[in-house]
Amino acid sequence: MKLPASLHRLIEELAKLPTIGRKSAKRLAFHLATAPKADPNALAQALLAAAMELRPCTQCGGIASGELCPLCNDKSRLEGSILVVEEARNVFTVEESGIYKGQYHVLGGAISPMKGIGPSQLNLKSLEARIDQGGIEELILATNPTLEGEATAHYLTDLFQSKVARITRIARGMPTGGDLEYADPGTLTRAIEGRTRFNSA
Amino acid sequence: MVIRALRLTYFRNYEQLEINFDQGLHFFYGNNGQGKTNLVEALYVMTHLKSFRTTSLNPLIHYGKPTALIEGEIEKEGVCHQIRIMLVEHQKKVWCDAKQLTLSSEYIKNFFSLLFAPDLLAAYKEYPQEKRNFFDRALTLLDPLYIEKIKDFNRIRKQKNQLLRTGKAKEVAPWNQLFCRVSPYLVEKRQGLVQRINPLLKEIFSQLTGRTEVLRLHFRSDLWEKTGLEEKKLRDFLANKLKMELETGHLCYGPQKDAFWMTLEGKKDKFNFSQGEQRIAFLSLQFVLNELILEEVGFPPILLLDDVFSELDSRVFLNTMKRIQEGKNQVFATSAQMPEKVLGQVIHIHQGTIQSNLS
Ligand SMILES: Nc1ncnc2c1ncn2[C@@H]1O[C@H](COP(=O)(O)OP(=O)(O)OP(=O)(O)O)[C@@H](O)[C@H]1O
Ligand SMILES: [Mg+2]
Ligand SMILES: [Zn+2]
Repeated sequence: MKLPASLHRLIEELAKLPTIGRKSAKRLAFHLATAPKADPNALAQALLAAAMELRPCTQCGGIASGELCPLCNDKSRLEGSILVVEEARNVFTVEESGIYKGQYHVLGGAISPMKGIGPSQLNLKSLEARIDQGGIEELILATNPTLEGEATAHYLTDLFQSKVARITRIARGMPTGGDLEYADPGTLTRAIEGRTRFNSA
Repeated sequence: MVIRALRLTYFRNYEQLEINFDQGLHFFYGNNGQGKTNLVEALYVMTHLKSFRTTSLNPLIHYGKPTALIEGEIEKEGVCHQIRIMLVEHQKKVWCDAKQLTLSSEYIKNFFSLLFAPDLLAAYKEYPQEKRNFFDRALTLLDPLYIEKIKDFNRIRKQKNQLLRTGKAKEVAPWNQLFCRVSPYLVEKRQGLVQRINPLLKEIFSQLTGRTEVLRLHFRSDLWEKTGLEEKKLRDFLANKLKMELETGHLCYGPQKDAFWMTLEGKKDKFNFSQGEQRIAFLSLQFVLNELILEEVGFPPILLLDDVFSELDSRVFLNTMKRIQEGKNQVFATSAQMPEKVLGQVIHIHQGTIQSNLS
C-alpha cells in the first residue's frame, strides 16, 4: 500500500530514534496523523525549539539552552568536586537522587577501541582545563560498571592523579532495593569485590 | 539429570522422529551413515545450544528445508522442563518451559552433558584453543563465576588487540589494569582444576586399562611462570612487553596462551600416544570431570559417547562398560556393531528412522 509521502517520512524519522522499532514508529505516526491538529503541532514546536536551543554546556558538556547549563549556572552548588559521567542523561539520574551537591562533567561516552572511541573522542579537554584552574579537591568517577566504563575510570585516574588530591570510584554492584536473591552472579561478585568498610577502623 | 524425550523435525537426516528415554544406558547402533552421530548431535545441542561438528548451525537443517526443530523434555531434580530449539538459517531460538531465552549462559549452566566424540578428540588433540575451551567449559560448571570472568577477559583482549594493531601505545594502560584484575583468576582456577583432576585421572586410567603407568595432566601458564601472578610483578611485566606486543600487533602473554597436555610416564600425548591411548586418556579425563561435577553440583551430567568403543581392546571395552553401568549417569552411546550383552535400551537406527527399540 502506498502511504502519503509526509506520513511515510514521519514513520522513517521516528524509526531512527533509539528504542523505537518500526512497529512503534508506525503506531506513533498513525496516532499523530489522526489526532486533532493541535497535538502534532505542539510536538513539532517542541521539537523545533529543542533542536534550535539545546546544545552542549561549554563547561561540563551537559545539556544547556545557552552557554552554560542550569547546574553550572547554579552558584549555590559546591565548587570543590566534579562527578564524571558518560552520558548527559546520567546527570539527571544522579540529580534525582539529590545526594550530590557538586559539579558535573559529561564525557560523551566511554573508551572502546573496537568502536573507535579513544580518549580524544571524549570531552576531556574541558575537564582538564577545569582541573588546571585549580580548586578541585575530589574527582568522583561515575562511569558505568562495564569494562569500558572501568577502563575509562583507569584512564582518568592516570591522567589526573598528580593534579587532584582525591580520586574516587562509585561502588559497583547491588542496586538498592534489590534483593540479594535477584542479583546475578556477575553483579554479586562485583558488589563483593567493591565492598566498603562498615565498622569504624 | 535425565532426558526423557526427544522429538526432531527436519534435523540432519531425520524428517520426523519421536523417542522416549529412560535412566541408564541407551545404545544406538546401525550401519555407517544412518544417523547415529546426528542423534548424539541433537542431544548435544539440547545441552550446549551449539554443535560439536560445525560452528554454523545451518548444516543441521535437513537439506532443502527452511527450519529444523529439536524438542524434548529434560528432568532435573524432580522437575520436568520442556525444551524447544528452533534452527533457522544461521540462527537459533530457544524456549524453556514456553519462555524464550535471552541468555544462553544460564541455560548451559543448568542443563549439561559430557561428550566423547572422535571429532571432538581430533580437535582437542590438534588445537590448544580447543583444549582451553574444553577445560573452560568444565570450569563454568564447577565455578558459577567463571563464565563472567572469561567473558570479561575475552572482551579486554579484543579491546587491547585493537589498540596494539593500530599502534596506540598511549591508550593501552587502562586495559592492562583490567587484564591484571581478571587474568590471575582464570589462571588460578585452571591450575586448581588440574590439581583436582590428577589423582582421579591416575586412578581411573589404571581402572580402565589395568596398566600401572601414571596418566598425568599438565598445565603451563606464562603469566604464572614470569610473575607468580603477583599484582606488582604482573603490571611491570606487561609494561615491559608493550614494545614487543606493538610489534606483533596482539597480546603475547596471558591466559589465551595457557597450555594443557597429558603424559603417560614421560610420553607426551600429541606425539607419543597411540590412537587407543589417545582415546583412553580423553575418556579417562571425561570420567574424572564426571566425578568432579557430581561432587560439586550434586548430580551426574548426561554422558554422550559417540563411537567410543572402536579402537579399544576388549579389556578396556569391558572396563568402560562396567564403569558406565555402575555410574549414575544417563548414557547415550553409539556403535556400528550390534552390541553383545548390554543392560539398557538398544536402538537400531536405519536411514534416519528407528528400526527397533528393545530394552
Ligand atoms: N542437513 C542434512 N540433511 C539431510 N541429511 C544429512 C544432513 N546432514 C547430514 N546428513 C546425512 O546424515 C547421514 C548420517 O550421518 P551420521 O553422521 O549421523 O552417521 P552415523 O550413523 O553416525 O555413521 P557412522 O557410523 O559412519 O559414524 C549422512 O549420510 C549425511 O549425509
Ligand atoms: Mg557417526
Ligand atoms: Zn554545565
